[in-house]
Amino acid sequence: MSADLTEAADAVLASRAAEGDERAFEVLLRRHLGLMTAYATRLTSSRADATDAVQEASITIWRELPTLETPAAVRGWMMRIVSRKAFDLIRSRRLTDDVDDLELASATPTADPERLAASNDAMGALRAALDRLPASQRQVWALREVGGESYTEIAERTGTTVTAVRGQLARARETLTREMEAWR
Amino acid sequence: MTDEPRRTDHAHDDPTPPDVPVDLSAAVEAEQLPEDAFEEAVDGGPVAPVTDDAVIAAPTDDDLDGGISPERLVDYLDAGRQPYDPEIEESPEAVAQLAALERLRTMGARLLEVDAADAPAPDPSWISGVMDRVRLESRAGRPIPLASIDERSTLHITEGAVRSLIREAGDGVHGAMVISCTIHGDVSVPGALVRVEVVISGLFGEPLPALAEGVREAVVSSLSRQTELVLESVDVIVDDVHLQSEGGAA
Repeated sequence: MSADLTEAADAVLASRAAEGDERAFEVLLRRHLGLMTAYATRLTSSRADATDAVQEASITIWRELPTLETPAAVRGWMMRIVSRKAFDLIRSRRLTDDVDDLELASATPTADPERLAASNDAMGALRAALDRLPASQRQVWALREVGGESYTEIAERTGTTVTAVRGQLARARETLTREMEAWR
Repeated sequence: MTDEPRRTDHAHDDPTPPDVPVDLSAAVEAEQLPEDAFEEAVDGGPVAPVTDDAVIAAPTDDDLDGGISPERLVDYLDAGRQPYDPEIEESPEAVAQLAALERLRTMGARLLEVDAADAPAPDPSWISGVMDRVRLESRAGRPIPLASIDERSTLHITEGAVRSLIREAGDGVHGAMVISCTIHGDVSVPGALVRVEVVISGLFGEPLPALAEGVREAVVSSLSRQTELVLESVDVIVDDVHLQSEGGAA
């Protein structure tokens, strides 16, 4: 009876994939695909863009796995590649749309009824509050609090400065904690 | 850009806000998630230099009554509320704000799990599309020449194919899972002595010496049968022990 890869630890899958085991890579990808897509969706505000970003990220992850020094940390590393690819996409969209202010993207907040109905619980309320944030604040907040990325990394992703990132984060947190007060 | 220094009067603040990734592991562990969830964020991130603009706190025109800025609270939270800051800890407003920030952080760490659970299952054709591209970029490694009866043609087996044989042989031994394998030696020279190193994880409860020996025999047998490599030795290292069913955990 051969060992079952679907039960293997992330570190084992990452090491094997780094050495060319495509099956191990597929198991690793399937295991984290939901999170990767959810993260990319948070960053791009678009399911379709998220799917594209995750696809690019997946290929990059495969390509760069041999450079990963701590296989046990593969999940966080994969998520960073997802955010990198998501912002590549956001940047290319901005160029093609000829829109240089990211704030404009959030001028049309998503207010679909399903989302509103989901706000019966605290997590739903957080999602709804996030949807109301300006896109740049929402992205910076997700990079920090969801992705756990550092201020410097966030500044690199978003093409701003650490100071600007800290300012956006402060505003996002202020709005979110205020809107979440009712759910304490 | 908004990087011009605006307010630098946070002299009472910690002058070097820690620019470290958030330690989400506590919140994540509390949710019974794989413990590796954000390990990278904790110990794998590049250590960011504290640059001048990091020292200047962003403008905050909404300081709390006590003059404690939200950013100072967040930096304090990032530092694990250490060292104890009486000015913050003794202000009821600041402590309440800390609790709200902490709660927001816990929810943020859970947000993706909830999002992912709500999302539709991935399209199977999407996965196969990605895997097709992955296979186009297979890691062949070094070419290993094979003896050819026809002098005008050359035959090769790739290092990647040999690794694949090693993994299959090792995985086939009950209780063993191959983690990695290395082929030492100049494989480009036919007949050169090569040394193979196989790192495995052993199933908890299995006698490890017997397991390692079983893997060694299986690898020797497979490579002797299917390649022309001249094996000097096959070394097996049991580097980890796994449980029967630890899917998803690291």
